[in-house]
Amino acid sequence: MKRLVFALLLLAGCGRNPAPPASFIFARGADSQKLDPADVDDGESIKVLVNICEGLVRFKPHTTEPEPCLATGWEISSDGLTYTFPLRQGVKFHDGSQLTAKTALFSFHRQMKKTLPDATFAYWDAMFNVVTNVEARGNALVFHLREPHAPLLASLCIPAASIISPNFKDQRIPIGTGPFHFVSWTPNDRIVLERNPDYWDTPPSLARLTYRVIPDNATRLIQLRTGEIQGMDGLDPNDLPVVQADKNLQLLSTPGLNVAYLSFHCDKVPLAARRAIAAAIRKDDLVKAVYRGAGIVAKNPLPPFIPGHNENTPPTLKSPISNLKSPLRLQVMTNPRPYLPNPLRAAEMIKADCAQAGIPIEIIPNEWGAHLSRTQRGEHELALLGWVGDNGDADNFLYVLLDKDTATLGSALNICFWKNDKYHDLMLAARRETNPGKRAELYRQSQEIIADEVPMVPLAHAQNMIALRANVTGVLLQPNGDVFFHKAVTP
Amino acid sequence: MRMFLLRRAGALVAGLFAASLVIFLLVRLVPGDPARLLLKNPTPQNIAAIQHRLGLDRPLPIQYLLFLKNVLGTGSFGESIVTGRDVKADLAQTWPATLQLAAVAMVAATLAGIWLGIFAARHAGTWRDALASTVSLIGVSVPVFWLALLAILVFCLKLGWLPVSDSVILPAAVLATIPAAFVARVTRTAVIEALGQDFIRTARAKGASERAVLYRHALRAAAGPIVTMLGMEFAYLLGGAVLTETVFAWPGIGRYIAGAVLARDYPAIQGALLVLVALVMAVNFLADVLHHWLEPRLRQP
Repeated sequence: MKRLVFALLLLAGCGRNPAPPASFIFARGADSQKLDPADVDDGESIKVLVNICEGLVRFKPHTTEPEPCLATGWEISSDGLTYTFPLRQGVKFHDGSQLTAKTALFSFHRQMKKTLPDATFAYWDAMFNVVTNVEARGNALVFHLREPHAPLLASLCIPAASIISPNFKDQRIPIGTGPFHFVSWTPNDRIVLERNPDYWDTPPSLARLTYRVIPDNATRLIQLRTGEIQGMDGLDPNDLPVVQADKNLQLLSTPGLNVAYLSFHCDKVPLAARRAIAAAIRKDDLVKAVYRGAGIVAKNPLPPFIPGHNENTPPTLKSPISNLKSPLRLQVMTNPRPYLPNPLRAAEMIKADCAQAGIPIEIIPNEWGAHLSRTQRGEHELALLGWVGDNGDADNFLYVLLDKDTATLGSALNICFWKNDKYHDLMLAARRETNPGKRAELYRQSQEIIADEVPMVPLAHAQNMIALRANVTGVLLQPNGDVFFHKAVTP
Repeated sequence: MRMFLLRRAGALVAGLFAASLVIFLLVRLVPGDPARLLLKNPTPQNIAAIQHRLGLDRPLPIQYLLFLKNVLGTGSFGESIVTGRDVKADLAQTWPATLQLAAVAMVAATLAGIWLGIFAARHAGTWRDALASTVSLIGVSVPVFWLALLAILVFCLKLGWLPVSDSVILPAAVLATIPAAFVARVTRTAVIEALGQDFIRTARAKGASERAVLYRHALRAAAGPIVTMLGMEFAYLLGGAVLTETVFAWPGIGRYIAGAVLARDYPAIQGALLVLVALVMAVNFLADVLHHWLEPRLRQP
């Protein structure tokens, strides 16, 4: 018996090594998929990569406006077809090799020529297919375009446009130029980064940055409260009061680059019913109950801080409806999404509002994978869904979510299957217009068509939120949800 | 004995084949498509390209045969759809954590369960027995998820005795609760039955101490059902590990499976479940053999 107890203690003793105390530990709910900036689109991979890799340009703090990064600036030819980026001098990759125009070409050519058989490079197809060639000219990179494409500069701020070392081979081992370099990855557990002492800007003060996976929201918050970790995301809105009441914790929040919406399948739900439902939903109550202060009411699909947002879209016309024989089926995902913390609760409130207006609705809950398949195949009448923006440009919301080009049955992003030619013309014109003021006007017009035709009801924009230990400073939370630790300081 | 072993081993192999087919079909019957979950921008070309790369565009029987060929031929489960990593390497990395958790929990559940069961049997019919039975009834009924959170709140947040992760003590204790309660109930019944037998009276008559009577004679006679119970208990522990590992952020197989299911990562789910099923079957096989050896009446000529 004594021997057994001893064996038990021995077994219990061989736990895994705790992290060294000097490090900053940031916890999230799920693991990264790959650490190849050009071949990922999941938030958990991007979250880590933005602290390792950099692009020619990046977003200014607290905005989605491009500013120079590895390029010292940019020049756009008068026909809008050539973009020239002079490179910063003396920048080194984490493997010691030098950043030059020649070495920088690798990051773009590998995506254009698809040099990795297993890689999808989905962002290149989606956002850079207008680029016909990238070439090195002296110390500058030159982009040649098929046609003028105003969103390009914003797209170059996303991780897919990061410049990585030509020695990069393994999609698990990123080699960038950023403030932290990659050290190790234990799948489903942690990714460890360390300070890059040769960083071209001031090197960070953190010696070590660890991303831990803690799937359960409640456990993650408790570990923050006990001080086992220094920061976390994926806060449950119900826990906000706990964080606010704890003197050892602080909350960072920004308006989010996202939208949650109720989609109508426009071939199945007639205009009169769409207008009636849009008028029946009480968005204020819904946002209060579902987001608990972590979201704002959406007027348009576009978040309000993006240029082109229309403050004054006309109110939806009310049209009387008749002969709705059977209830409309509302497809809902059962899991929280970054733009919607509690989809089922939102669906129930929509159902109650519509019932008051005499419109019966039946809620069909789906697990996330099934929900995506069903809505992309157009099997819904009504559906809850949302979108997290990539490059902070209006095109990335209004074209992607509602243009007739993206309403392909089976793979739709426009799951409203709304096909409006006037709207389509505005979208294409805005892509060609490089004058920011004129572009914004085109997008404002497009939102008036949305308000009139109601292919969707924009519900809310969720705030980005992270919780930190109170004694941490310098952490930068961007509107697109990226968290930068370059200037972070712990006592 | 040899016939018995051969028969059981044959059943083991047949069971594994059946399990592989069930797992293969079940994974594909669940609605949702890995290609769609993988792509933020799902053009028909992108979806088709991924499905082709993963072999999902081929007929199901062909897919199954290829899966079997890989497993039997090269011992490979393929590559994860999501991460591109070799599933076997991933499993090799996640298994030790789960086995450590399950082993500690198993030993703890067995010791606690047998002690509680004997305690109840010894005081059968008294308030002590009622108390022990109530404790084990609560143990069986409490949801693991709730117990885990409660344990974290009390021992990590309020008392600060243990860290939430990096220590096996708390997750193992939580995971052991339900199996311990089951072992206690089985032990109680079996020991009470044994205590009524003639050989116990003989043992007492020749002056054996109460301790020796209980642990040497009665427990030995009651060992059969307890050992069978332990085999099932191990299967339960591996299943319960999914929830426990999630709450305690323990990087084992349970969390690997949970993540793979949500992403419809077919190769990862198939590989992990097959190994899990094989392990549970192997442990039950061992339990059967042990039971057979402990119980002379089961030995056929």
